Amino acid sequence: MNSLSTASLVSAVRSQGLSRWRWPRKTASSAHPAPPVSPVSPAAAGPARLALDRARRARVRHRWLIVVTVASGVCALWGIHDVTGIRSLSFTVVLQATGITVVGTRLVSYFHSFVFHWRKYRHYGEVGTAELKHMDLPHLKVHVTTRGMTGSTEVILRGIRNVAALVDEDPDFYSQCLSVEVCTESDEQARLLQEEFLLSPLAVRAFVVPGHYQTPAGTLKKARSLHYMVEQRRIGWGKRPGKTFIVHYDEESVIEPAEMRKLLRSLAGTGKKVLEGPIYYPLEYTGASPICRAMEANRPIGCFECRSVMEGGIPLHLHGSNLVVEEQFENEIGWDMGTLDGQGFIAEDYVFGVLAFLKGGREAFGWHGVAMLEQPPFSYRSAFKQRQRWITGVLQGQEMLLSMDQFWSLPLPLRIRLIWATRFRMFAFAIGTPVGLAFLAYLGLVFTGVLPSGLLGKPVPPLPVPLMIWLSAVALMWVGSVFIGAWFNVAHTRLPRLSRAAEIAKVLTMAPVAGMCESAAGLWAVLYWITGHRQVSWHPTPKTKQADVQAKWSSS
Amino acid sequence: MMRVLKFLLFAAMSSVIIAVYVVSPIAVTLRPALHGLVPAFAAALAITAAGAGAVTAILWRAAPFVTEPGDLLSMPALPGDDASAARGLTQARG
Repeated sequence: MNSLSTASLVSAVRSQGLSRWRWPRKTASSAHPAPPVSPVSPAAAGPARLALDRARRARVRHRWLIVVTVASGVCALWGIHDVTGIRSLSFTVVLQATGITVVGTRLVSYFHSFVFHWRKYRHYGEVGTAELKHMDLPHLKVHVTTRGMTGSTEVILRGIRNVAALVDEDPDFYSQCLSVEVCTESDEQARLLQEEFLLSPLAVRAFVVPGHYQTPAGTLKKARSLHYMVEQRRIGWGKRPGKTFIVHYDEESVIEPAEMRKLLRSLAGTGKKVLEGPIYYPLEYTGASPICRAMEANRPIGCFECRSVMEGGIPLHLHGSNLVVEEQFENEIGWDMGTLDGQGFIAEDYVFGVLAFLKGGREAFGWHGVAMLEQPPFSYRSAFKQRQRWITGVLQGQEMLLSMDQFWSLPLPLRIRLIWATRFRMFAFAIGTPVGLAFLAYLGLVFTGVLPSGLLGKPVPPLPVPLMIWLSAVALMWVGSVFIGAWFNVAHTRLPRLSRAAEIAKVLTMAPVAGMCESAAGLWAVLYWITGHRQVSWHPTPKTKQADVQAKWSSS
Repeated sequence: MMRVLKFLLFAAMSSVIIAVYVVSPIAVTLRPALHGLVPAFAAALAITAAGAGAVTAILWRAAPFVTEPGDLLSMPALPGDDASAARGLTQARG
């Protein structure tokens, strides 16, 4: 397996150096020098230029499409406003209803998965060691990639201790099917982690990415470390007989022993190569600011739809933690995704999902349904940066996708779904702030008597009845989604029952403000991107309060 | 006692949010059909309660509260020297 496997996935465009990617780059991995980059054949230059032109034309076409769609929408709304007898309405109210409809469309998708398919979402029965002993289990390598920054050691320890707790239940059995690898940039952290588990039956190995290490494509940030580990595995490190899966953790991720048993059982019977599961945010819950807790309540409902996305096999999004990848498949794809405008990819998980899709098709994706626990950001500043990073990362990934030959060889409906369905999701996320502000402004005008009150004024609904029913349904779903998220997040906390109920009520109280605050990060990222700003940074969300206070975002 | 008061406070505050964002739009929609504010509001409350009940029924089975979480979920403290060493971890090079 050579390290150019990723290059065979990304198009000839990149290998020509004709695009904005820095590909290929001089490789300087002293420990494991990469194979030489294939020379560029003149015959390939034609298709490469063709792909570039196609990508450029697509970008122009997409811009025009957006402009025409928005203009048509405004004209249509104006027509509705002018013709259908709702002349008394302000045009902005109609626009507001349209914004709510966009958000509502997403909520319908979430609730469809929640109401009709919630049983597929988790594994509810207990799994015992005796049951597992009768199965042909794969080996699981728990993988943590970290920069080794302040506060990360403690949370990584917490995650590994949960794996070690399972191994301690039956060391002879579980030590054969579980191991941990930590890829860090800190020698000190590697030493600490190795010493901590020196006497444990669980094999814990810490790798330090050499400072001078470069991937063949010059990949930066987290993907660089991930690819370093792929290169280690490609030359045979940690090779185990039979099937092996890599379980990707974030620094703070925890899978409890009972859930890890479920994961072993789930993976024993799967033919899928890329699987995901739900994530909740109960860890260090009370240490996070109330606004962050309320923001995190928006996330678990999304995991219900994440299941349908993964089972559908089109990676409209992919989260990098609770991501389980078959080792051989990950080795074939690698994480060497190069750079965009000299900037590293910050949503390497999304890019990996796209590459996995292009290589393995829809059949590669699946849902393992095992819950991972994580922690919310401690401050709004951290949460804002985190959300901003998600959106910018996906925008980067889409830019890359448009310049890939493999993408253009896909059928048109599939291309539309890959690009426009993801864009619609980002749009629905970003539009939350203007929609929320407009609604608050509307309420303000009603309360001050500028606009007639639907409750106290004349008994005429402000919009046609079908539209009012739809808007009411969206409101119900929105509050319901926050309630569901808060419930999932507090279900695993160490709070008494009454305190959990109070916490859910507190989150609901803050939901309107928290929703706008969260969405503002997405809006900011989109505006920043479309105005041509491409600078990105990989600054992991601080994992302790102290680290959060000390974080210097501007320097990252 | 404080726990109860805190719960009541936030329950009241969240009720206001639910009333503004959910119950009111439903009531406004139903008001002409039900010929009155009170029946419209009562119907809206019933619809909201039914929705909340359905969601809670699913959650009760899908995500029961974990009553005895283990110590493994708490943040471990690094021992003595290691703690200071971890605080001084080298800044990442990437």
